[in-house]
Amino acid sequence: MRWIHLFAILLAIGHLTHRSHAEITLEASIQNNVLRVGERTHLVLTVTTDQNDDLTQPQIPEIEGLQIVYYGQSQQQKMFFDGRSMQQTRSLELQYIVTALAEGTWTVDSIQVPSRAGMVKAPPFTITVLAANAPQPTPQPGEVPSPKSDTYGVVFVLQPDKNEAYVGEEIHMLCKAYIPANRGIQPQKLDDRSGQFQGFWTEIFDMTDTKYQRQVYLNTSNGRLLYYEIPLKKYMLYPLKAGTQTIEPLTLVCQIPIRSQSSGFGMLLGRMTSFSVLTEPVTIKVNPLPEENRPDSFKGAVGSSYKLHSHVDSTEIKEGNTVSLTVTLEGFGNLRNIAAPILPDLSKFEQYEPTKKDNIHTSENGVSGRIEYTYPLIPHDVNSKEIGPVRFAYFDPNQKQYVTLQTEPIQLTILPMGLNGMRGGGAMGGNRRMIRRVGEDFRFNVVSPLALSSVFLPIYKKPKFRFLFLAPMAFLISAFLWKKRLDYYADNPDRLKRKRAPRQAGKLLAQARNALRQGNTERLYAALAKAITDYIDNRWNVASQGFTADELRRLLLEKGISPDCAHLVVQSLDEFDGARFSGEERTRELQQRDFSKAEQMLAALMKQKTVS
Amino acid sequence: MVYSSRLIVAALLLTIVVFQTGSANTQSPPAIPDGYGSTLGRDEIFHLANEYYRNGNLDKALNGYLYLVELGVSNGYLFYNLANTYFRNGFLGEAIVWYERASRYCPRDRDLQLNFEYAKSNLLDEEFRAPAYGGTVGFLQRLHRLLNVRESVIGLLILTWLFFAVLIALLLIRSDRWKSWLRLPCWLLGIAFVLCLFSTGWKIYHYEFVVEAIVVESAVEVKTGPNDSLSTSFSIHEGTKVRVVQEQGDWRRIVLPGESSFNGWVLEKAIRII
Repeated sequence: MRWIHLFAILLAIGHLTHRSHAEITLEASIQNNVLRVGERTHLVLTVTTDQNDDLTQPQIPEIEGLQIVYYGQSQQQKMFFDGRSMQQTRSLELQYIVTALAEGTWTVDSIQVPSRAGMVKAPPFTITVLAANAPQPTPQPGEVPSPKSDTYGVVFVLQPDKNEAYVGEEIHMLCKAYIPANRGIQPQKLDDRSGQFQGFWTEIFDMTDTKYQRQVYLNTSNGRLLYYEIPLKKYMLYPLKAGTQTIEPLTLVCQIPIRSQSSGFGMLLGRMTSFSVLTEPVTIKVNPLPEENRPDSFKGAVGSSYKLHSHVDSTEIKEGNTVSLTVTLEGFGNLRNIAAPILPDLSKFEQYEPTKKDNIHTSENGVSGRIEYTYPLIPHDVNSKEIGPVRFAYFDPNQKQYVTLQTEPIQLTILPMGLNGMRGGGAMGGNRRMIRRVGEDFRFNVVSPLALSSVFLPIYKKPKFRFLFLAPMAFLISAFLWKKRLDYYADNPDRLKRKRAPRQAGKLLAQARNALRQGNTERLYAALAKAITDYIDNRWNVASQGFTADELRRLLLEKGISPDCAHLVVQSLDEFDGARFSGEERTRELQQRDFSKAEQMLAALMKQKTVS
Repeated sequence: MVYSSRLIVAALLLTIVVFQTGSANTQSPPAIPDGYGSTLGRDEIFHLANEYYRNGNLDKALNGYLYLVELGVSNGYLFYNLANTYFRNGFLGEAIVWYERASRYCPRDRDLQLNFEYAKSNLLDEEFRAPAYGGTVGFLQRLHRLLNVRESVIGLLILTWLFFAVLIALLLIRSDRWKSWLRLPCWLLGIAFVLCLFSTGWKIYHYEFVVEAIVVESAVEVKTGPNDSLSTSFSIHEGTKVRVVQEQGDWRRIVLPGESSFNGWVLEKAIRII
């Protein structure tokens, strides 16, 4: 086996092994995490995989104060197209009844399911069990406003985690709705794109997943009612300027089923109606960043737990070759809007445009991630031995102070250029360097003047195009009509003969005219006689030769030809035969007169009506 | 029946006469920019502008290219050079306008695509991109984008003649053997003809009836109506592509492509029609 085959197999095995890892996920969703002793709630565990393995039931640990009993399961299979091939995922949804047995706070943290890569654990969750006679849990007074009369009991709130912040500090603004249980109300659309967050840079985390939802009791004018608390979105807001900023109300459109009054069939014939609920405006006081102890390297970054690293791809390079300095910044804060760290003095290096890669994600806990800047540098000479420390300063709002990060300097070994002056090793190919871009990838102008001909794009406006486009269609129609015509004459040969009769007579008259011009009497009279007899034959299908004069006259009269015309035809044919076969000399005037007579006769015959 | 072919010929002649149109150009020639002689031809001006660009004299290069545009030169490569010069000069919005115009002429030019993408990477607003499909639909989509409207029209003409020639042959030829040979080409040409017809039709529709524009001011507040005192609906930034759907005086009603709910009014000077 050739080494390349072996390499391909190894790659395939590696790929399969990689796919088998971490393809199973386990999620837990508890319906209510505050219970009284003796109360029950639902726990749903969802095992999802994109493998073909059998899905196994998770192992449920025993918890002292809780009883978790298997209730039922359902399985789902989804197929989707990822742009390249069909993919499938399967999920097993297992339902459990959780019964509170004893007071306390119980953490369920070891639900796990076996997979090829080991045990996969569900995220831990906590259930608080109160005494049997304890009041139902209620939200903190003032936390949730009372529902208004025109919102069908729906409450829609914006809850910031702080009402005072610094410029650039992350504010978590939770947007959630409280929907009365058992009324069939469905939130439909959240309008948050009308400029409510002016003055803030905004990042959004979607929270419509059911795992964030729970049941609560709210005090309303109708007493304590069961509600669903449905978080919709979490906004990560970063104030752009100091002052008091107001977030205008957001609108949530909901639908509620309206029972039809006339039908009497209740919900089946009911319809849905929409209504809107607004949040209250939220005011945030934004403080400017303190001037005191502000470092020179500070460029406006605000956040926490930032880390700064720097490294080069190789500390030993040849003179004239490129070294890549990579600076990595990671932490929590508005990374998308952050300025690059400050580089040390790099005057001993030729410096090119950096490339920037980032991996920033927005989660429930805020915005975090990392940004990687890569600077291509070329040392000027062998004395360019050190890349100094990279610095980055930010303001930490938790500590209320500026923090400056600094990396260690990097020592380089620059090898002198070879005697032959070639960069990156000799001509034999040893120690070759990777070719890489050192500047931006922007292409130069087109310089050839040959390319400067004027191009008229909308040629479809030109009459020539319209003609050329329509002509084939006209030809097709013509061909179709021509075909129909040919078929018609093929089915009716008599019609074709009748149609061709004048043309054939004309040809014979032309022959006669030639004979007259040449003084050939026999040919003249033969052509004249043939012109008349052929015309009669083609038009009326009467073969005039072989008949006596009387028989021919009778036949012509039967075909509807007028008696004068029939008489003239018979007489003329007789004269022409006489002139042709008697041998007597006829003068040119007589020949001319006979020719004219034949012409007039044919004209007269053409005017005769055809009796079918 | 007898007169049908004569009627068709007469109709064709009438069509030619009806489609014959003429126009006269009465515009005065544009002023020659500084640094360009009055005796220079178009190719020499282009060459000189390229030299200015190469030497970093972007303003003079820009004037030269713009002069050629004013002279009526419509060429994708000229527009590309103009876009590069605008971009290098820091006019992102104008650069995007000319890249868009150049793309209509040279949809397959790799350098143009690269520079266009590079310029768009500097946009502040997220760009709307039409969904890219895979399989046969993706192949047809790529084919559709491969040709400019002129090339599509020429391709359509060729296919029209070929397809109708085969149809006419099928109609008139009596030999069954020849007919059986022609059937497959007829189907293939028919399918190609229909696809090309749709593709070209769509391009012509887009070219003639869809008015697109690029924001050329650094930040533009889109108003809820054609008046500055009305409230701001949203903001857009330089280089963002919009679709113009209505005009009223100096105001244009715009819609963001793919986001029809985002619409409003901006001043005409804030955008440039592609």
